[in-house]
Amino acid sequence: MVKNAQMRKNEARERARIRREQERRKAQQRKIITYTGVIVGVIAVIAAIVVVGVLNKSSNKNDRVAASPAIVSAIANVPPANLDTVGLGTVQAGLYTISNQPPLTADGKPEVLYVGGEFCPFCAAERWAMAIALSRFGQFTDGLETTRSAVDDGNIPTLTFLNAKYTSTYITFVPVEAEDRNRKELQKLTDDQRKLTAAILPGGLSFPFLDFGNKYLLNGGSYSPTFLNKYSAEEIAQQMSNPTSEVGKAIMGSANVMTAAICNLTNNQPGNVCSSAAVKAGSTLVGTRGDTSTIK
Amino acid sequence: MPSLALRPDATARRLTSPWWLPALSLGLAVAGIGVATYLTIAHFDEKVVLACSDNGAVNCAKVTTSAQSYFLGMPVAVLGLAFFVGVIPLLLPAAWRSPWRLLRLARVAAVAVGVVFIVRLIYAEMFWIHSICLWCTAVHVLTFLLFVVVLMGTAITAPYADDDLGPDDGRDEVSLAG
Repeated sequence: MVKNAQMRKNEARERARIRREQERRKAQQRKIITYTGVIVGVIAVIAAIVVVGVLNKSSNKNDRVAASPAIVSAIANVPPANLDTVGLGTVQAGLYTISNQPPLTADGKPEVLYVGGEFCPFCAAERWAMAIALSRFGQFTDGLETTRSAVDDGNIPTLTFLNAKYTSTYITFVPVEAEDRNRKELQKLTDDQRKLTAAILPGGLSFPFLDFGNKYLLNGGSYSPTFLNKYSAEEIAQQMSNPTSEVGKAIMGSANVMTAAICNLTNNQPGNVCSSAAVKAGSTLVGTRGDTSTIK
Repeated sequence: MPSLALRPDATARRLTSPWWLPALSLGLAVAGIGVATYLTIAHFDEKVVLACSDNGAVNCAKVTTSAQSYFLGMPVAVLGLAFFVGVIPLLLPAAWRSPWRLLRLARVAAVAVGVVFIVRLIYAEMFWIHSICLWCTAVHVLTFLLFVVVLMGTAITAPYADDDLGPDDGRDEVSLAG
């Protein structure tokens, strides 16, 4: 009796051991299948990134891609002390004065109207400065992208304001990227914008056209942009807040002139920006280039 | 209630792992340390130039000097080196044999973080920097292979049917019915 009971006990143990082992193997197989799925998923994600990246580069001749977080952050966080240090930097040309035009406003605020083309090398150079200057009065909330000027026109890394969203309590920024990198029409000017640009530049619209509330105009470049094409957009963003770099001296210098022009529209608000050494330096080139009527 | 004799003792609860599992995973980690060390030295020492093309789609210098070469203020090369060094203890033979749930979980979590990081870096190379760094790619491949080995190793060394990461209470349940 005792022997039979012991045998039954041993058999039960053996059956339980076999069952556990079978369950363990089944569970192991399930895990292998699950993990294989995870690995295939990771491979698919990486492959998708690479394929889309390559296709994007080869098919998108405009080379327009979302600005990286590092670039967006670099634009929004240029140290004011560095802008003060640079002053005018290597900026060579200032702003024209616009006469005989009523103040340009939108949404009850002074308007800064930019009309440019993605192909244009001077626009490429000035967009960096514009982004810095505008960031002192508000912020780009979305849609900043990077591109390059035309391959046969400097191929300069730059931003594009085509889809950019900007908010400010002081000013309204209205960007118009009229032509793409291949000089094809991109955004149409409104009738009012066409009339305004024709009134200010009767000899024909030339880029960049940066109108500060119908008081001052940047037309053409404030510095020679060609040296920028040896850098990537990432490198420009990285160096543009360095007051000792050639990139920083040019871009921050131009940004200071633009900031000073905007301070003229906002009754010198915000105070900490408009009373800075950077703006004092920049104001020496605001309206000093003569009247827009002198532009040929 | 099962008898005390049916409970696995400490020795019996050690897992068995194939010999190649710690060897392969450690080999990948050591190779990763080698490449990451090279990238770290090149990051801090301007005299050390990476043996790599510096123009066109493959451009190591452009990638390693880009703004994306930092993450939360830390050089990515250093983070990569720290990852491979940090994961070494989890890949030792004793660690692979251990049924300790937390250790098995930490090993999977570590390589998962590594893979998420390399996906982000690949995205940055393709969409933000527009160049590829071959040495960085070597680190990406090693990290991914380590991820595969650790996941498969975790599956094949699963100690219990109901839990691939480790035992719950270490109790062997035996039915005496029948």
